Amino acid sequence: MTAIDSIGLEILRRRFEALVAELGAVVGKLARSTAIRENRAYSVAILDGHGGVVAIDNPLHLGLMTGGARCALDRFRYDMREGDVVLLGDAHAGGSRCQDLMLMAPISVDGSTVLQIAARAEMPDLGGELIGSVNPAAREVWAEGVPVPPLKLWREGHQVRDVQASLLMNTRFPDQVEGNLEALLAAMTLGSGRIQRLAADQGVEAVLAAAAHSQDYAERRARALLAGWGEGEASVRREPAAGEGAGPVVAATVAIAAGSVSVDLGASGPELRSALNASATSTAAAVATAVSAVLGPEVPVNGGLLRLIELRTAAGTVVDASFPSAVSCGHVYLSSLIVELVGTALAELAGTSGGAPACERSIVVVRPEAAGEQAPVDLAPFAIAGCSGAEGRDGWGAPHVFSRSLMPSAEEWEGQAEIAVRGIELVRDSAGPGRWRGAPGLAVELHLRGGGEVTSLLFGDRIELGDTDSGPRRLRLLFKGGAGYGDPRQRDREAVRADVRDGLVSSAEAKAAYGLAVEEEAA
Amino acid sequence: MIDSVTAEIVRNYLETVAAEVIQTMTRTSVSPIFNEAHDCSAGVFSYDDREVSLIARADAAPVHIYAALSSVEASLEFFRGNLAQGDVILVCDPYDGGSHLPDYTVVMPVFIDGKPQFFPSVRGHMPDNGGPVPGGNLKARDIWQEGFRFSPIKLYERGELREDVWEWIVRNNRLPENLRADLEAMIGGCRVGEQRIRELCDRYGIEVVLEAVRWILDSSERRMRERISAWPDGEYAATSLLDTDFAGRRDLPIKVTLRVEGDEVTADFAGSAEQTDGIANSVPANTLAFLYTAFSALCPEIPINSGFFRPVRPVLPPGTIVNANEPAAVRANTVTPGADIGDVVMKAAEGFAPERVGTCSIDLLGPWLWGKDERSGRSFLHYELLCTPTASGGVEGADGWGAWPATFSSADVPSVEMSEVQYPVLYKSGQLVTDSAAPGRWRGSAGWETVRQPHRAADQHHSIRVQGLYSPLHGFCGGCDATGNYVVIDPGGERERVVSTWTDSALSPPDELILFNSGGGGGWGNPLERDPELVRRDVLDDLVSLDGARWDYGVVLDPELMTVDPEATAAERRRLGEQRAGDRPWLSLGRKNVLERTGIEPPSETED
Repeated sequence: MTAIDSIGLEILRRRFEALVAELGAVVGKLARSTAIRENRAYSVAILDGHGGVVAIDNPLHLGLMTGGARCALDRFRYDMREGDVVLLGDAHAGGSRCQDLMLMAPISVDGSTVLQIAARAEMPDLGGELIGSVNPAAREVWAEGVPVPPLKLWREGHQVRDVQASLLMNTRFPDQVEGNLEALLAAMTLGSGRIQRLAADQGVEAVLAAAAHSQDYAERRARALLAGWGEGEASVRREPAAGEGAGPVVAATVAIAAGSVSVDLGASGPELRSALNASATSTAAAVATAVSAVLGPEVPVNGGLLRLIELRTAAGTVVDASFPSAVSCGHVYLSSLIVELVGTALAELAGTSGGAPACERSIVVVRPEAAGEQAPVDLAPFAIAGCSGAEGRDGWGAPHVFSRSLMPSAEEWEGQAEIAVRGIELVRDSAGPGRWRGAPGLAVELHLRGGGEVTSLLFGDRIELGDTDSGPRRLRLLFKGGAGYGDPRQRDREAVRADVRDGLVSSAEAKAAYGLAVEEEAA
Repeated sequence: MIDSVTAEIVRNYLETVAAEVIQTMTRTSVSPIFNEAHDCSAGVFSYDDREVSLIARADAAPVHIYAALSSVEASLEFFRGNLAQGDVILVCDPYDGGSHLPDYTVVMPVFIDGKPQFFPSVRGHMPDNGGPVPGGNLKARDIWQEGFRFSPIKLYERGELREDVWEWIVRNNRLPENLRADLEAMIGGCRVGEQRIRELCDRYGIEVVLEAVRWILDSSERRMRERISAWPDGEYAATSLLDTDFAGRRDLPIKVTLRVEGDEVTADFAGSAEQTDGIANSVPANTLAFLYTAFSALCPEIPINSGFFRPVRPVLPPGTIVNANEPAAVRANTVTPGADIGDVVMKAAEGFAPERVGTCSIDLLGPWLWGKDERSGRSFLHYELLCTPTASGGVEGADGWGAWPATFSSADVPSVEMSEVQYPVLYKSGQLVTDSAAPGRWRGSAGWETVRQPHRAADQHHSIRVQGLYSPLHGFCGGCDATGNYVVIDPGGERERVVSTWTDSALSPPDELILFNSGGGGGWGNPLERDPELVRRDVLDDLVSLDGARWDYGVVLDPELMTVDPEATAAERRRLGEQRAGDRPWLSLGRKNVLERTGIEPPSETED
């Protein structure tokens, strides 16, 4: 074996990245459920022996993958043989929600473990009170679904039949879950083979060195950027209203000092007796997303990036819920809030001009009656609004950290989900004014055939329910626009006029917010 | 050919093995539901490469042990080709070998000569099994809302503990420490069973033991066939009504037609209600358990094992309340509609074996209370059997007495004192209720009234289910139906309310009193034929009032001397006999009292 030079290492790093992108595409094409195929709620990663992510196809899952891998390794560090596959999906043990299942397997070369390969994805259901396992009224995790602590799903190349059968008995959609897990396994098997071939070509040492290099490189790049930011500290707090009763309180002290980012969420409020809690892993993932968003695309998203972050949470708070508190809604909602809160604070401290990296995300799950025993449909893919403006650009569409979801094709949805898409349009005067304005809000009108149930937790967004003459239930979703950046009065006049011409801004708003005289507009 | 003496010795040995298995289990388990209430049972099963047979049972709530037969069958089916000495299998799913999710069955194959020939087994009702609601979800509409499911799953494989599987199971339980300990106790019981079975085989040799097992099964089958042959051929039908499915439907019929033909009986449940949206759906393992329970009560002289069941052919129409299709919710089925299944089979048997019938079921009075025990700061979940101890009925030659009918008598009534130590509750009173015993020539057991109050409990929530108020357990051969179960919250207080079907709420105020009335079992035979001296004794014991003696039994007593007035009694009995011979239905005094107390309207006569 020859020693590998830095160019060789960098080439291998890129190959890891290309590989996970390819594996991600495999999962996206093979999986059975819409949440994976269109909402792209999954990831595939290569990890080192300590749970460090070497490469991952979905930057949003960096923290989740790390948390899950550490939990699985803690449990099976001395019992991970070639052909083993660990299954886990337990919010309070390295996970986010019951239905977010993760698989991890050792990649072996000549009988010894070199790296790990893992994949995780959102399943359409894993039991509990409500179809879909998202239950705003839940107080305990058992009302949401069935937690799955680390379990061997395969042992030495053989499926563990009773575990697999039992898992599938706990979902209302066993065919979909089975198909999804097969898709994850297929990608993992393909990935393992590729890494084994790489090891055969380049030598195990080179592969291991490249895995270390990938993370070291990300860390180095990140620290270099951090060094340019200066030091400082800011405290931020958010106490959103969430229906009746006390809502979640998220309080963060974000500091940049001595080449690291510390985020202290210890002063956040106590966990709630509702599903609006986040697990420690969900929170860690959100903080990683925020830091990664502020660092920008130059820093590869992998375990090296996490080395910068010192995160503190207090057990029993809303951002570090204790077992068995419910978490099915907090994972989506609090995560988006933490990304926004921490990301914005960090961006301001850093003096970067990226705008708010995220916005609070509502939860809207519908189950059309006509769909019978189909899985409920998460309408998140339609929520392509909320991106804030930033220095040099207007907001457009969804905040970039959420932009992995594909905009669903209306025809495909109509065919699959018993939902007719009757209209999708931008809403006039819904974009936050600014020198760089936010993304306009979006109005989506859907008809649910034969009526249906809607489960929602809304934050800044609205839904309107009504009936149509012909029978279907009418559901109108109004997604909020993004925030503006900078003084609106300094916005380029021609840009304001263009927005007026496009119908995004009314004459009145142009005058009131941007100070553009009506007569000037008319001229 | 084995001689009958040796075979009987083996049979009794195996019965003793089953008894030792369950003794080991109940004495080492930690949950009061096992070590106090014995809501569990043990069995020894055999397997001959073709079929699984129950060969001995102990402490056997029939609902458990007859259903465990399905659990052993499901284990063998699932692990066909993948079974080894040292495996320990756990079964729970109603659609895969179980009855309802909280009944966990441990199945342990005992390999002899390289084949799994025996299976000691313990089934127990776990206080919790995950799911949205502690102790069971009253409002479940599908099986996933009832908790954690699993296929037959190995807790040990070839003697090696499967730690990850244990972690998964206890993770889905609100009482993980109890569950772990109780499972260990069940496994421990089975290990003792294995040891004893091996000792038996060492002593007699496996061939002799297997021959004895065949003899045991064939002997019970032969005796059962003889018994059936003695019954007149014909069709005997009966209907029971289930008060509520807890999901909006009322008075759901459970029908059975027993067809006696030669030495076989077909039990056809056609005409039973369609399966319900709620939790009152039975599955075959559970329905068969109650069918067999009734037959075992009809034939107490025959040793109960799979041979006994062979001449009984069940017909369970799919999609009905006795054989629901997956994924129907089934949480309540071990009593609701289980009790009605047992009761209706017994009622139908009245037509061919009147001298052998009597209440063999219990009807539901199920209170769950949970919250935080302020004395310890820990969560508690109290599923109590203390308030529901009477369902024993009259039979020819004996009054109903004590707690549950003989078929359920392995379950114990927990002690009040222990319950108060274990749970944050106080029992204010417990008493037999005057005039509540179903009248008959042989009366049912008297009803039992308990008044309970939470004590030093916080965040408490209770879920109470009642059946058998609108349509109580049947009386037989002219005996009266039971008087009916009911619950009253804040009895006599300003906020008094009657629970006639179910309630699910927080208590307010938190120390509110709750009265539970458990209405006893059915009577047997015409009450006007009851020995007046027995009526007099019941009056002296305060079980029957002077009014009740006259109203129900036509017995007139001198209120001062407490002696029977024979002439007045004869006249009164004549008068009542004529009155009751007409179309006008009459109600026993106890039943009348219950209807007045609860203000309910029972359904009109059963349509057959």
